[in-house]
Amino acid sequence: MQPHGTALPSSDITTVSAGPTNAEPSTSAPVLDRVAARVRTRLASEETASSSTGDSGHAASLTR
Amino acid sequence: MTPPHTPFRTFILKVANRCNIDCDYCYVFNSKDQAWRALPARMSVDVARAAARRIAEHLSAYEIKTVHIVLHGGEPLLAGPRHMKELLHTLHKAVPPGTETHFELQTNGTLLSEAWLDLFEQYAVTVGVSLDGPPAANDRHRLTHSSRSSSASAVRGIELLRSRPQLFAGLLAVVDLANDPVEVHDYLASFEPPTIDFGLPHATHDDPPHRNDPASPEYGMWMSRVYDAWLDRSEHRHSVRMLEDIAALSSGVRSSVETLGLAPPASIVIESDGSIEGIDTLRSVQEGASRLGLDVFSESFDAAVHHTKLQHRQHGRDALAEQCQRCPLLAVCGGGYLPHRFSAAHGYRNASVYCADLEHLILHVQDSLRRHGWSLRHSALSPPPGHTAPRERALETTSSQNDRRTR
Repeated sequence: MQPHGTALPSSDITTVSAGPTNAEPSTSAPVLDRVAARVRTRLASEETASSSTGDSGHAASLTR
Repeated sequence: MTPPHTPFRTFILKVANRCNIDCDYCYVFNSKDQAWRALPARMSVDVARAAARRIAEHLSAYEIKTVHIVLHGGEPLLAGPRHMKELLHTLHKAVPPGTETHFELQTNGTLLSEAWLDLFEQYAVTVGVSLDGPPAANDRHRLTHSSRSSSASAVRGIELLRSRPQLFAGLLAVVDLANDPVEVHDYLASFEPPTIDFGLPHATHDDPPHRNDPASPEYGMWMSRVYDAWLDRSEHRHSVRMLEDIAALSSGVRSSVETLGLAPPASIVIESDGSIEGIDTLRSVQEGASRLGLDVFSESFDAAVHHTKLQHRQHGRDALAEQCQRCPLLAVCGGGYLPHRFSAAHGYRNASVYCADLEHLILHVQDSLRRHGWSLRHSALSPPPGHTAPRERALETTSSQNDRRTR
């Protein structure tokens, strides 16, 4: 899955394809495999969301 | 072009405006803004009813289908279970049908009881607990009003919360360089929270953070060691919000905690008297910085969405210091947390006082992600021509200020 565009000008971006792209889980970092799964979910969720900029959550509580 | 205004999806209700402990870094009670002294000790049902009506009105106007209502303080449990039940009932019944409502509460954990958890279960309130680490680490700042440790009672509350894991949102800690980052992380992880997060101590360019070595990005290094500790054990199933958000933003995710990224904040604060505030942590900046002059009895949240004090929050990169706009890490860092950018001379148009730390941490995380096969959308393998490395910039700014620091 490829997420859609970014607000940064292309000159600021050094890598074009984005995201946790490793198809097979890495045996060296299971924690990162779980992070990758959650990041993919967030990317997918934002692709269908109405907001084009995303939202930011409160820092002084555990909410998003 | 004026960007579209972002409606609020998170409403932070200050249901109690006092605390049973006295954390020396608290932005509510021990900061430049002492507004709490004039505010009611707890939110009345009348205020909650007015707030609930405004929330419902806002959700309907913007067709928002998911809302977060955060019960916050001070220490929110000082509201008492019976009163809290009335507040929850009032809020719950006002939310339009079909809205997915998430009630969340942030507490120091010391007053948690079975009765509280029964109430939270009834209204599906998830609970985050603030704890800075093992007792010696926690007691550096989180003491009672009589200077006693709050650790044992907080841990007792966390253990109680663990007995109902569906209510346990996680643990929130403030970084102190005097604490060992691995020890702090591993201790917090031992409670098996779904999420751990770390906050950097509130600081501005006029009142910079404590550093042992002003030439070194010590906070970034501290958090990098937390990252390594997090990855070190395969059994760690929790998220570390700040670190996971760096990974997510680097991968093209737009939403994050408000301390990172360029997404406009979608949260608003309702004080115990019904007044509406922007970012409550701006109280750490200067007297009145968070005040909007609005209240839920007289104005809708639309007045806050369009309030001049919040406009810069809608403008993403355009509101940032020029050096931030040119930085290749901008999409991840977002210029840092708003209070940390402040100086009396330039307002919020500065790089963060933690600029060098954020750069160090982001590069550390991104390097690790690449080594594990991630392909990143926003990274800085090589800065653009003419770019000044954030570390050099920030340390130029803060080293002289640190010399003046008396704390």
